[in-house]
Amino acid sequence: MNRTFVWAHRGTGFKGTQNCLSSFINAAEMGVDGIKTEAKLSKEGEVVLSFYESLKINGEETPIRALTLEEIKKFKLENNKTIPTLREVFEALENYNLKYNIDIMEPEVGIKIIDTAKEFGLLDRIELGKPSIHPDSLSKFYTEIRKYNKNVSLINSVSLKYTEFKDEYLEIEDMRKLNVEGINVNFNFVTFDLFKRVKDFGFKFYVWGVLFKRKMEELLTMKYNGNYIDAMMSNQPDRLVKYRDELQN
Amino acid sequence: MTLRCSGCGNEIETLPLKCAHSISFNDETHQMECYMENCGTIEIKEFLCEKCCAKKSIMKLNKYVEQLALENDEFKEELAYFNTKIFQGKVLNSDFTFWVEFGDGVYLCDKGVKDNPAFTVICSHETMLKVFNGQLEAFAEFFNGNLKIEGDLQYAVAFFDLLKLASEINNELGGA
Repeated sequence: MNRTFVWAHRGTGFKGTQNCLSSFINAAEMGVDGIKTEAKLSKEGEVVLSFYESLKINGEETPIRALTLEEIKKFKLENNKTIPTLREVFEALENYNLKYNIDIMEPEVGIKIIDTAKEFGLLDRIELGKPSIHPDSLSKFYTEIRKYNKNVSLINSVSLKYTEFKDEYLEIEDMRKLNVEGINVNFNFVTFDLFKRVKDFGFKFYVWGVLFKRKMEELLTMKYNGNYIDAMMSNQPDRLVKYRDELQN
Repeated sequence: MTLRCSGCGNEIETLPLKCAHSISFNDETHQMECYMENCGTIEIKEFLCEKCCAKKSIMKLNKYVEQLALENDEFKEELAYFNTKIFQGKVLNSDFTFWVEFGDGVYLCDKGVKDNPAFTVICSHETMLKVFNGQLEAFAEFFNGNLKIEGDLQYAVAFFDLLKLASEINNELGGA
């Protein structure tokens, strides 16, 4: 029987500074299985981990893409933390055997992540994600990346604009064509029927944004054909690990 | 007879929807009263115009959540898992603003503007009210262009999740 894979969103999520090196290390220490984060490119094309498209420098919003790595490193997050590069995170978490699920907004960022992961021998530990707020179709979003690399794992986060999940919203045919592995759904919209449908289509079933004890317990005990939900992402990863370990042993 | 709003003082030209169901004379207070669906029985001198009524309802819902945070252990515990953040609400075509401070076990709200919000939600009276009472999904409205969010989207997602939890707990407690 499987166990639900726990992804720590931006490190320790709502505790501490998000998307910084110490937050990722703290999440690893909590016993999570993987880190869920977001990536952007610096002016030189280095992968940095930030949700934000731009940084407020000297009172002005400047796109991260227009900033050099040196300029990005000078930017201070909460608690005087800095934005890490993907390389720094791979090096710092070398001994934890984690996976990385990284949301991208443009295919170019995904291609740079693939290159960096290959350098570290970590391509099989990487998943790329299409964010639930991205307006493009799956086909438009992932075709270039799939042409660039046939093996990297791709995940489809279903848009937050849907409040019900008809099959056409899941883009099943394009998922098959592009070899996308899983469907990622906000926890508020998870039903047993949706879980069953996704599994019957042959895909992994991911749930994101999982909060609250009652929802964690409900989702961690949901089973289909003897298997639990494949993976969950949370801003409260310590709780999710604790309940997973209690409920799925 | 000219009916004036007890909130803004303007003449009430149209009564709020679902109001004025039952006007009666109160023998004890010697006042005319009206049973208003959202507000209970109130004196006519406390009537509100449509806009003030909507404001009051949004704050009424918020005050309910604030009360729940004081009285319900589960909700209080869930709030403790968040670092304190500020939600700022702005109602379009109106001067009505309100804020919610949530996290570290606390939910506080009031009218007006608060410094350094984590995110600001801007929409019509109707959308705001329906999002707060669970009739509309905030992010479906966001993608439909009916609701604007400025700031950190993930805290906005979490805030609306908290409202859903409050509503779930309320229903379990037998609330309206």
